[in-house]
Amino acid sequence: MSIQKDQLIMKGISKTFPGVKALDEVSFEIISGEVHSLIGQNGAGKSTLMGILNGITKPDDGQILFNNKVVKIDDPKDAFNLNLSIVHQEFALCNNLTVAENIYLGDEPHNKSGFVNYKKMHLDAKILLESINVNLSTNKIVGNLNTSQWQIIEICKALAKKPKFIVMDEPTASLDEKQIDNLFEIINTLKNNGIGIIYISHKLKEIIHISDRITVLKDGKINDSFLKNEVNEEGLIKSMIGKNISIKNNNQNIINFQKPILKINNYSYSNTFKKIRMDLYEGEILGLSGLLGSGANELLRCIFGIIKQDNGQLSLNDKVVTINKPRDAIVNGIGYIPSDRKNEGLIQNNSIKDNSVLTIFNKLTKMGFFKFNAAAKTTNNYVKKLDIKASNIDSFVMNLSGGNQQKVVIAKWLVKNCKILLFDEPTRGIDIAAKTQIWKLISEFTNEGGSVIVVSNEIPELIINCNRIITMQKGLISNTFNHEDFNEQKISLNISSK
Amino acid sequence: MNFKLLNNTGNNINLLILFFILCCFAVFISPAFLDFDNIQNIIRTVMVLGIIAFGMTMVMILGEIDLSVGSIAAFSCAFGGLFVDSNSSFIVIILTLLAGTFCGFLNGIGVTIIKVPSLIMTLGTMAIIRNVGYIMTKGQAAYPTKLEVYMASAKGYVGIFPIPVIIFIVLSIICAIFIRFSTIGKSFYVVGSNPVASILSGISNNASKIIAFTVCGLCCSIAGLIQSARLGQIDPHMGIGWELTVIAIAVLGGASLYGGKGSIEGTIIATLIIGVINNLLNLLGMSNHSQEVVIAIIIVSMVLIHNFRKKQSS
Ligand SMILES: Nc1ncnc2c1ncn2[C@@H]1O[C@H](COP(=O)(O)OP(=O)(O)OP(=O)(O)O)[C@@H](O)[C@H]1O
Ligand SMILES: [Mg+2]
Repeated sequence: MSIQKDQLIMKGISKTFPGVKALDEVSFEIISGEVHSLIGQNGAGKSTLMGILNGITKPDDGQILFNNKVVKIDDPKDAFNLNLSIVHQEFALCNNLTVAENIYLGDEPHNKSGFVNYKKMHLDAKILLESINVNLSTNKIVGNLNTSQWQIIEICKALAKKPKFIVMDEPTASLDEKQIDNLFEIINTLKNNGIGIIYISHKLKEIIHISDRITVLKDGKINDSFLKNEVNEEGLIKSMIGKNISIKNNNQNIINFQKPILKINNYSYSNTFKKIRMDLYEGEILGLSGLLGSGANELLRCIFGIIKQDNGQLSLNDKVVTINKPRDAIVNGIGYIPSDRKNEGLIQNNSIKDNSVLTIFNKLTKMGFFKFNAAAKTTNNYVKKLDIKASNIDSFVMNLSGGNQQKVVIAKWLVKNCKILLFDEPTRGIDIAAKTQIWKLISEFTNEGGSVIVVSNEIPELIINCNRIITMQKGLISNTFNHEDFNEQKISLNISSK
Repeated sequence: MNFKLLNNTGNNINLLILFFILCCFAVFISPAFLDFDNIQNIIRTVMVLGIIAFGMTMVMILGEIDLSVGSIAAFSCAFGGLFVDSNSSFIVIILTLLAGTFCGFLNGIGVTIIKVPSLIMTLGTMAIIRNVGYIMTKGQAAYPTKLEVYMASAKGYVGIFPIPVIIFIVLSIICAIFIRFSTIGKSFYVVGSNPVASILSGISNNASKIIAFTVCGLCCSIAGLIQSARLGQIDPHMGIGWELTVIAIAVLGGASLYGGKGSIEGTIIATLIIGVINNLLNLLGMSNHSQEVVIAIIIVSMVLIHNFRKKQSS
């Protein structure tokens, strides 16, 4: 049996959004059985290009060829008919449906009488999940799961359509190391089955590891294209950004480990974490790392009052405080940067200005009236300070690139003058340049006396920037590393379950 | 000044154009449309619902809905009407407004603290409040005709300007300023657009909602009061079915059933449009029933247009 290779070519694609030329004469090609990666800084135009390939966005110019025949992809159905499927960067799941229902949404198996065959649906979903080594019950409600589980469901959704080509837009942004390895195995299997994969990621190590070809987008134009083994990480960074960037630690605080500013004692929450004891000191950046199910993210949400611990005590400067809701935490000088910026961090259809001052509405009020001028002034300050790239502060945040959106969320808490900031995966889906900027902002915050807890699975990042790293496993603290004992391998070992 | 209009307050140019087209059409159908009396009549009729629509707009910006508006109008007036014998407009008016405000506050508490979805909560209060009104008055109307100030709210003039129109204009200005320039008004949009992000930013969603429902209740009682004075009787049967037209006005004016959108300016123009449509149907000799059909069609088609636009923009 000879395997016929299919080929999909995008040619001379241009797209302009009001105020930005997102794509300028971009050509891109994918062949069966290869992994072609697309990289570039936030806002380079990667998602826009893939949106065009999937009929979500209409190009101003250019054409798409399938086996050298021009095809029209005007809406996602056309893409589906060409056996193209996409794992979107942003999750699009129905929160109140089950895992299986989400995977087969719009493509449900039916029985003879025309009803949805739930039995088959759950069985298929189970087989699919098992085939990619994921242990997840198919009748769980999606809204109760966490971001990495959502990501896996999105991937399953795309696989369920049995595509010839599959686009993965930052599939690993919210996966942990083990799951990433797992995903790579899936990708290799797909490749061997003759499926072409377009892979988008900001994690250059992964890109180098998995790609057969790498194309670099910069400001909406193709900047470079490399074959496997032709390039290393540095080369990619240089092509993406135009210069080398040094990744260094900006946090030079010497921590006084005598008096904790925040202390939690005996924190437990259902089956998620148990009897957690943890201190945070003034000026400290404390890293908290753990796999899916370790309870690290939930612990952060609990400190901020989004979920209420079953028992345990929290004290600030040796004074016990009760935190029942986020407002209580905020009043006590705690801020929280959620990992889900789209839904929890930002009001998408509001301006950069409104989002940046969201936490200080009270302060910006005089006799009931909102001080528009003061709000604009504050926002402008922070836009400058954080180097937020936007046409103006009145544009909607939904049109910003991922990195700039994240900076707006951080700005929102910096204006508030908090004492403690809790970051949940602050560099997720963010390009290298923006990553270093965000870590610099975090360090500056601590240099001015603030304290920070960062939940992240980017262990190299944590090692560079943190004063201490706590690892969690299955709801328990597995180890605490002081700065002098940092060691990537040891830390990884303490995260993954034996 | 440095305030750009929020895009969420919508584009009112289209509405204005629609308004003028309808007016031209009306003149074409019947030149009597432009009679001074007819125009006054349009404004006086629809204004009552327009005032309630201001409150409804706020509630809808928050992503909630209030079905009890007609009942609150009737009940609050009936409550004030229990005291017509005091012969004091002041007492009756104050009690009317207090009753309306209180009912709105109850809706707010129900939706926020007791956490009943507003659709259900206000469906419940719609029935409860109206029937309490019947029980309280034994179904009897009261007659405020002796209360001078009370009656003036619908029938009086300041110079050549009818007082009810002045009330409408003043209220619209207050509401517009409140929504657009006050911090509370601003938080309405924030909470309505993304309630999760607003809670996580320390904004009190509950406070915003309680305020909006309370203001809506107050608007209902003001509207009911003007209507009662206009008819010269305080009838506990007043306002049945008002919620339909009021929601139509708010939706037409740009408020979204999904929250985060709407403006008083849009609601004002929408009020006039609905007024003209009603009048037009009257001039065409159509029955009340067919008028309700038209109003209902407007709501549904506005939602369709909204969904269509949303699809286009994404
Ligand atoms: N609907 C839109 N309206 C206006 N501008 C948009 C819209 N969508 C994207 N843009 C702009 O187009 C540019 C490209 O965006 P795109 O989302 O394709 O970037 P990206 O490479 O995927 O970035 P990231 O790595 O952050 O996901 C950005 O400047 C963005 O602000
Ligand atoms: Mg993208």
